[in-house]
Amino acid sequence: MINSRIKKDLRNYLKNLIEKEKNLIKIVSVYPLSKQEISDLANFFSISSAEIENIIDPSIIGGIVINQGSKIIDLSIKNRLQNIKKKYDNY
Amino acid sequence: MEGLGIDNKLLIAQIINFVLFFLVFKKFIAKPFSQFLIDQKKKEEEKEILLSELRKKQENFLKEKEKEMKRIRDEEKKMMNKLKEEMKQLREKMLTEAKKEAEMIINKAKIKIESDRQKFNLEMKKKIINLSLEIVKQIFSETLDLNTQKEINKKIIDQLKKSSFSVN
Repeated sequence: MINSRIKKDLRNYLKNLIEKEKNLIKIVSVYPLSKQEISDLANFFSISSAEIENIIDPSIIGGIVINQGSKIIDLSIKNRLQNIKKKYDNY
Repeated sequence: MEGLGIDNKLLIAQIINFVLFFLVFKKFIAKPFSQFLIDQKKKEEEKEILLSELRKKQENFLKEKEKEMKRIRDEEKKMMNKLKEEMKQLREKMLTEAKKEAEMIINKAKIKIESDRQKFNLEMKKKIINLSLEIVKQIFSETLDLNTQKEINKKIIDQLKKSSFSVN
């Protein structure tokens, strides 16, 4: 049997972690974003710069991909090209 | 008579001899011979009649035979014509069926060719699209320098600011 207090602490910890993860915005880009770019994005999402994590992935070719929890906004060139491909696949 | 050198006795004997000879000849030779001739004539006549009947029969038989032969020839001709007609019909039927089958095969082949062509076109299109995409990706990867990347990101951020875009 787990102590009810430990249980409660664990629940609170997980809740905080999920909340933190929920608020954390991951931005994928080809190169490391400058402070100005991160600041601009933080302003747009009305969050602090600290809540933005920049991930480098050259496979997106260009542009950015915004991830927040389960939500994804793909503004990359790779995604644009995939959309063009899908459009022609349906012809 | 004696003056003429004729012996009466001899004459009488000669006459008697002649009469006897005549009677014997008449009875045993002339009559049966005559009868034989009559019989022969009768037989000849009968033979003639029989022969004529036989000839008639033969003629009739030949006529019948000819008639029968004609009938058989006609029958044979009819059968041959019928057979020819049937053969012709059968040939036409087989020809029609063969034509139909050939048309069916051609149509199937056409459909298959068309389907293959479409499939091939689709495959080619996909390949071309994939290849083009790969080329574009490669070109972008090689040509987009840091400044261009920054410009792109700047435009995206500007567009985000302008729009009512939100992840919340």
